[in-house]
Amino acid sequence: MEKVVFFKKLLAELELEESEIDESSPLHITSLQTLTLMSFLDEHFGIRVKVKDLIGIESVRKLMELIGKDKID
Amino acid sequence: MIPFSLIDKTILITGASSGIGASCSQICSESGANLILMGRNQNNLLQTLKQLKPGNHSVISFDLLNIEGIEKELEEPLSRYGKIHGLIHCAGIDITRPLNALRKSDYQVVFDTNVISGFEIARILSKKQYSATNGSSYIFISSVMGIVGESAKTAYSASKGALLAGCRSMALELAAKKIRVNCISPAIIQTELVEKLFSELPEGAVDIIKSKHPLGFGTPQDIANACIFLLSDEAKWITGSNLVIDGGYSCQ
Ligand SMILES: NC(=O)c1ccc[n+]([C@@H]2O[C@H](COP(=O)([O-])OP(=O)(O)OC[C@H]3O[C@@H](n4cnc5c(N)ncnc54)[C@H](OP(=O)(O)O)[C@@H]3O)[C@@H](O)[C@H]2O)c1
Repeated sequence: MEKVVFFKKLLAELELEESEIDESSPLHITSLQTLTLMSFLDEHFGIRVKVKDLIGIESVRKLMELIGKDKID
Repeated sequence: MIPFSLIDKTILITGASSGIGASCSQICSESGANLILMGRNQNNLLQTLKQLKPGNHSVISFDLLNIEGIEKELEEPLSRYGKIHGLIHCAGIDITRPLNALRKSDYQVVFDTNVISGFEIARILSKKQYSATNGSSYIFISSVMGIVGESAKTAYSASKGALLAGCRSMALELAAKKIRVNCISPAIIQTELVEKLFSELPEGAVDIIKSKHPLGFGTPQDIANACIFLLSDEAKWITGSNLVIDGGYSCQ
């Protein structure tokens, strides 16, 4: 997925307050947003993670690392 | 007289391959029932079978999502038993997903498994050729989520609420055939699956969930005990009801 598309989709799916995000943006999400993120990762990247795996993912960059650099260009 | 005897009764149990359904199977067999165990995982079904008291038991490995195929699948085993005295529809799946992440396919699979397959089996069992003249009892395992809400449970709660609503109408319709129809609504029951789910949660989360259960979490036996009561003749005047077994969860 293209980086800009990824940022847009993430913003929309998680309904983040920011109007724009990039790699350097912080990611502080509620437990409900965590569940949304789990579905987002499954639906768009085929990645199945547990709630535990998302603890410590506190920036968009860390999330992108979790997804894998090869999957977002 | 043994209380809650199921001697000479044949009971069909879906979801018998695991958790609450496996426990119901064991306790029903201890009460003297002959059982038809349904589930998908053949090995687990055989595992449940091994734990039963000897009786005229059988196993049907079948995916309930294949709703159109249920009647054909049941034809031969049901005619072998003749009359069926009870059903426990315990098969069920849970989807914990916020509304914005739910898709039509999620609702479909939850409703097909939790509700429609069970109602289809009830339709088949209530046919004259299978329904016992001295009365039958159908139990649908709903959930407290069918009566109270929780974030990210829209699909699951809707399906469990549908069981409660459908059960009342079914109870009225089938009363003339002496078929009683009831639901059981558990809160969290500590099954292997729940244990696994808990192990994936962040520290502290389980304690928060537990604090909402004044009597702590339940065990599969807590539900199975209620099932043998509702299946037995001692419950002959109970129909269209919902037995909430939740350690106090929904009183709050
Ligand atoms: N555990 C709880 O805390 C709790 C609380 C409230 C209500 N309940 C309800 O209680 C029931 C049993 O729960 P449980 O905790 O014992 O769950 P479980 O251990 O996951 O068992 C679910 C059962 O449903 C069967 N099943 C699922 N999808 C199926 C399908 N497509 N076709 C055929 N069988 C299918 C499974 O069969 P296979 O494994 O063979 O695939 C399994 O035997 C469910 O209806 C659940 O909603 C549970």
